[in-house]
This record gives sequence, structure tokens and C-alpha cells, in this order.
Amino acid sequence: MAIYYRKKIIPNAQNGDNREIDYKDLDLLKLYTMENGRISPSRLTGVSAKLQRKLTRSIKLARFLALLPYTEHYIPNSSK
Amino acid sequence: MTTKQGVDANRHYEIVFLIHPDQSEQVQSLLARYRTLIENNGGKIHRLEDWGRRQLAYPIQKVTKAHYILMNIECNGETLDELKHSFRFNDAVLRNLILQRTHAITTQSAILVAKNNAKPNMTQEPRAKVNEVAVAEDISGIEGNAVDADINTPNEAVIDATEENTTSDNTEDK
Repeated sequence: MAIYYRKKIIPNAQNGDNREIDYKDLDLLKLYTMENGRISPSRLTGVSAKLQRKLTRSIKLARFLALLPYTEHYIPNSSK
Repeated sequence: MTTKQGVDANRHYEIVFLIHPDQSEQVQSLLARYRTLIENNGGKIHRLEDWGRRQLAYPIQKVTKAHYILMNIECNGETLDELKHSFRFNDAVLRNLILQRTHAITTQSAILVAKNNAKPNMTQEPRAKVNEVAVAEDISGIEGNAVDADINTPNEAVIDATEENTTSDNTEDK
């Protein structure tokens, strides 16, 4: 099945990038989210399971702190 | 929750909390209060960063910006509980996150590094804020651009250089 998918190889710990996965490192986390804010599956990013778990946890923490969005559409402040 | 080491064992915590943008002026007094709280209980602040007002990825309590503070502290459980308590009952604190760490962290966080690198572009920020004010009707024009600039630079200079003691709580709003 993996043959038919094009894995985008992202510089990560597997490929020599030694940045610690941190919920504050938004540039790193954004590599692993889709355009609409969803977390990319590892079959697309080619990430190991261990790394994927770390990324997921960091992304969810960043979302809680409003550093990353949960979803793409937010209604601007309408009524109080 | 007592530990086998003893009730007063100091643990490392990393705390991020968000303050309502209209209360940005109170940030310093709030930090001073937390500092004394931690210091009096034998704790230490290893890292204190003020990320300033940041755009939120989604509105929290109907505000689209918040003042972010990051603290890495070492304190005991009692101090942490006091900090949690103060977070819970302080309306200015929108959200807080407390994580336990294994050791003290003093390096600059990625967000502060990115902020410092982006400083030359700060002249573009006022334009973005004008648009936000136009779109968000209930945010008054209090968020002065000059205020942000003043808040950011002195804080970073002071905070990174000094070690302060603050306590933090693990309450999570919402």
C-alpha cells in the first residue's frame, strides 16, 4: 500500500534533524499538520510511530494554548 | 499528594499562561506577585519569558489576542497549589498549562527566538492590527502598537537575564 503513496520526507529526527519536539516549536509542528490544521498521518509524512506520538501530543498541547488551530474556520467576533 | 522524598521536595515545572489583552499592564505586578510567592517558599525561577501579545489561533472568551507568559520554575507542591489557586480565581488569566519537567530549562524558547528574529518586521504589525480592529467590533482600539513594542522589549531583556521565583498552578480553564 505504501508503494502507491508518495511519502513526503520531512527533515526530522529520523533523517538527522535533532530538534527536540516541543509544543513551542511551531515551525516544526506546522510541517506535520495539513493546511486545514489537521495532524498529518504518518503514512503521508513517513514518520515513525514513536515520533508521530510525540508530535501528536505536542500539537495537541499547542492547540490548547491557541498556538495552533484546531480547525480552519473561525467565525470572527460576532455577538457578545 | 505526598512524595516519598518528602512533602517539600522541589519539582521542576513549566507553566504557560495567557492573560487577557486588556490586562496587559497588570502583567508585571502579577509576575512580581508570583515571584515573591515562589521565593518565599524556597523555590526558584529558571526561565521567565514574556512573549507579549500574540494572535490566538482561535478566539478564547471572545478575544483574539492574549498576552503569553512562560515560566520554568522549581517549587514544592504547596507553592504549586497556591499558584493553581491564583490562576483559577484570577479573571485576567484566560488559560494556563502546567507541565512537569525533569530538569531546569533556561534556554530561549523557539517562540522567543522567532520573535527576536522577526523584529525588523515589526513595522508591519500595526497594519495587521488595524484590520483586526475593523473586523472585531467589540475589541476597542486599546491595543496600541506602541504598547506592544514597549511591553516586549524591556520584558525580554529583564526576564532572560534574571532568575525569578514564581509559582504556577495547574488549573485548566475550560
